[in-house]
Amino acid sequence: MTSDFVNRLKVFRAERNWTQADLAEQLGVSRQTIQALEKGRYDPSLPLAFRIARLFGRPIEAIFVQ
Amino acid sequence: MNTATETTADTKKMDELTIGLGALTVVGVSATAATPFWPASWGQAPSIGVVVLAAGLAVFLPLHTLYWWRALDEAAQEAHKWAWWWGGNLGFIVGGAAVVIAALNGVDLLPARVPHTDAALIAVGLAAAFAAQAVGYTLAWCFWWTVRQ
Repeated sequence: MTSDFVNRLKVFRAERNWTQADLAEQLGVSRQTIQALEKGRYDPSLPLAFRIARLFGRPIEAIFVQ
Repeated sequence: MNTATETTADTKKMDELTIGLGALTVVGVSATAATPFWPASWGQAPSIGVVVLAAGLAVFLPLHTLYWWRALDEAAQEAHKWAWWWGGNLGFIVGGAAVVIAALNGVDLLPARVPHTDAALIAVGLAAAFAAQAVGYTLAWCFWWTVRQ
């Protein structure tokens, strides 16, 4: 169940001092989804990946690294 | 409209539908007069309330399901789709096999007080298949989320 990508979602979230629930609310997803994403056990769709990138003000490849 | 706003809008619509369904239920219980223009060949006319409630359910439940589905995020939708396919199919196969094996071994699947007609046997088979799919679906859904937390 592990993703082919490594993501830095947790790092960017921690930099902003956000909880998983804070991030989930801003992305319009559940906290469980954020947890699965951070653990690399769920790959987001392209639209969600773009929303994450836009929220953190970074390119997608800075967050999701193969 | 962004995703969070869409989700909120769908949740609001679900709430409105629930209120509407509650109002319909009140009508369904209180309007006891027989439905006019009911064809005699269809048997005794049901009450107006029952007809209104049935028609309301036929419209409201699919709509409620639609808004519920749209309010889910993509991972939650994926969990349901995965559970529907794997849990439903595996549940059906395992449950179906269990019913067939039980029947071949002479196990009476119907309660003794129920007449053992063909229709009753078909109904119990359908109910068993549905129950097995529901159990498989639930287990698969729990599995999908458990391994991702």
